Amino acid sequence: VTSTDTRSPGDGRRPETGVDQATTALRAPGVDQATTALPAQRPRPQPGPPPPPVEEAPLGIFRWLSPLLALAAVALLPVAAATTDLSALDGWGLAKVLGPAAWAALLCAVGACVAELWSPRPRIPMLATATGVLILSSVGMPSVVEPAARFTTAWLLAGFTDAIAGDGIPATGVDARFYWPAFFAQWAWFRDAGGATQLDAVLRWFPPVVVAVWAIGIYALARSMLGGSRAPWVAAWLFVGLNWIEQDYFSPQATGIVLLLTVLTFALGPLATRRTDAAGVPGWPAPHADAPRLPLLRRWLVAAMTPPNRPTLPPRQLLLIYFCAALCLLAVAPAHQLTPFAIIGQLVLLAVVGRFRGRGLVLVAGVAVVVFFIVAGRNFWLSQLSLITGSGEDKGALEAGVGGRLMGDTGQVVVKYLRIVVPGLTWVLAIAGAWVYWRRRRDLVPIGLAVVPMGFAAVQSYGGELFLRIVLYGLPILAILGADALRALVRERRSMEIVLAAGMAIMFATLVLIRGGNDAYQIVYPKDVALARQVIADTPQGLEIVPLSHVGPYGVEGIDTHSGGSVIKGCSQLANDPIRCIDAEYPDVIITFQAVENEGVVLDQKPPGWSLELVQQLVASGRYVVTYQDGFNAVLKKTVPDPVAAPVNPTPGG
Amino acid sequence: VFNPALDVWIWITCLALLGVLGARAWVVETGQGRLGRTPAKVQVLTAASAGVLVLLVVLVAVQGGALLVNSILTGTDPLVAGSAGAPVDPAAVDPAAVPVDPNAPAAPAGG
Repeated sequence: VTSTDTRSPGDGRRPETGVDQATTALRAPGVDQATTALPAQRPRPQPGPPPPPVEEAPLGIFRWLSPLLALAAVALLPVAAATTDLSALDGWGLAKVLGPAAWAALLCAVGACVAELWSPRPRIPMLATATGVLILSSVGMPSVVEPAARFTTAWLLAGFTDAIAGDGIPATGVDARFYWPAFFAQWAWFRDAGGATQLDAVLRWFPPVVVAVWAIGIYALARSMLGGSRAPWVAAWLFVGLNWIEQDYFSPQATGIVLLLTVLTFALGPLATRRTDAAGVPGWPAPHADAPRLPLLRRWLVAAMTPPNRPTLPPRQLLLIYFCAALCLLAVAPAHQLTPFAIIGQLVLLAVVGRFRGRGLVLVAGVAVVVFFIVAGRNFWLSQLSLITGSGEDKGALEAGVGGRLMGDTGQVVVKYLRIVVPGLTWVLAIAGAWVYWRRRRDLVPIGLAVVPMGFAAVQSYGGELFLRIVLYGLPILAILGADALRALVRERRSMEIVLAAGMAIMFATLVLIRGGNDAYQIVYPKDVALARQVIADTPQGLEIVPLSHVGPYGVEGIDTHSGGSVIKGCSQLANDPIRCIDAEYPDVIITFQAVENEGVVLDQKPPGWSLELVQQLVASGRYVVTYQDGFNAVLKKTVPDPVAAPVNPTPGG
Repeated sequence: VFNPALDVWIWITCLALLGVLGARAWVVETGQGRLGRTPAKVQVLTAASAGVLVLLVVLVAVQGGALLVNSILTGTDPLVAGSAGAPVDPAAVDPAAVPVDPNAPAAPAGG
């Protein structure tokens, strides 16, 4: 055995070993000779006096240009609201009825962003303000020009919130979404704490506000991934401009994405790290073409055994971030069905490649989802497991979700094709960005993060919404990669800046067109909401109130007190085959809105006035009476007794 | 058989797991770690985390997890599978809890 202990015993003697004797040569005192053990250090030139401060180039016109354009955009919005003729909505949706003031506001907002970006010294507060104005003028345009929140589902979810607000208990047997009740409970609590009885104003302004919060998350993510002072803002604008998915209405997934972006920002920001081998063993893929490749098993072993580097943060800050991230992961589990899986998938990928510290967060997220689903969602999976595992009828859900929606008049079809083209272009841009990112940082993880949500395709039973969710959950990373591609393009050819500025204006105009494409039948007027509330209040509890079609604010209240109809094959809504479905369902009350009429005309290409004609038929049959009518808004109540179902005189004494 | 009344133990175990994981994170991040050596406190807390996690897995499995996994793997209805093997406690299933709309998670088109 060979000892390698070369420590001195302390008495001036060296250990009596034959190997590796430590040097005993000491420098003679008083002789100040330079060591020769190291390469000679060239004397560095003495730093001279500090250079005079460089005069910063004046901002010139950029000092005022962006604020003026932003102010102009905001000032034009009320004019836009006053000059938009909502009664002329057709298959082209909101874009066709918007007045010049609305488009000018959008152009000014884009100009404000671009002007500040072109400034010699972009000001973060001004960029943030311009981004807010841009969101208000694009995503928020419907909130500005329409008198109430559009989108049926937002009103339905407000109804869920209303149902839970009374006693704090989610209604059972109503809707599968009630098994993930955190969002509804949260807003019910807000509502009760605020002393409000409804959330109409919240619903109206929810989309621009939540998109602004998302944009903050994208900016923070992009700052970590791209660096620089301009590219992160471009990433945020790309995200807003490419996000036609419209899951920013009052919904659990909107809040879920806020939580997802928070965790992702932590993971790729302050918790970001890299797994590096102290011995200099290259990882996979090889960082450079000429790097030697080691055996695969060795690389895996090195990767698995090498702990990620420690972020350069004080321990207490790290712990605070862990706590906040864990809180977000715990909060998202009972709030939405899919979002937890998106963030878990992305965290698992980051953990496997050693890109963040705090892998216990993956465990926390997994435990939260599994325990919540198995225990709190027991009634759901005991009765509706096929919703998760899928069934034979669900196999074509994705195809139906895309192909089945390509219907309607010319405007509808064009808008829907644009909805397919835009994600395709987004992916093309992102792949170009992934290539740029790879060349710069030898890193493929970001594109992997965008691919992870595609695993949702395994749960096709979720329905056609799945395609939208896959695009949405990947969009933050896609937008950031796209910004990297555009930055590389501009660095290559400065003249492209003008082209990209024009492209930004076109992108946001297209966004308004695509997002507002369904507004002919997604628009909601305050009188519709008042009508729905009145009908629900006047109808005895337990009776059926069924909308002619699933548009309009029919579910704003009464979710847990009135039935919304039963499941009848081919009659997912009465308007599918009105006479047959109404015969089969025979609801106590039928309610219809202007939106129902519009949907039939622009989407199902029914003749104008079809809904009123149907009302007249039902009244003529003697089975229903009209209790309210104002234009295309109508309420029909079942006559008692039913003249068709009970034609025989009752037997005396029976 | 799973008894919903025992669910409270699952939640308690969850809280315990979070507590142990938090304590471990505290010790790991605030400790002056030395390369190549895991402090004894961390080892103890890691073992405790693993123990609580195993306990949680067992409890969840007993309280329905095993039935769910079995139903997914065999493609059977959990109620049928539960009644064929270990019968499901009728009190555990709310008869009114069946969603009326089988496509309920699929919200109307997002635009």
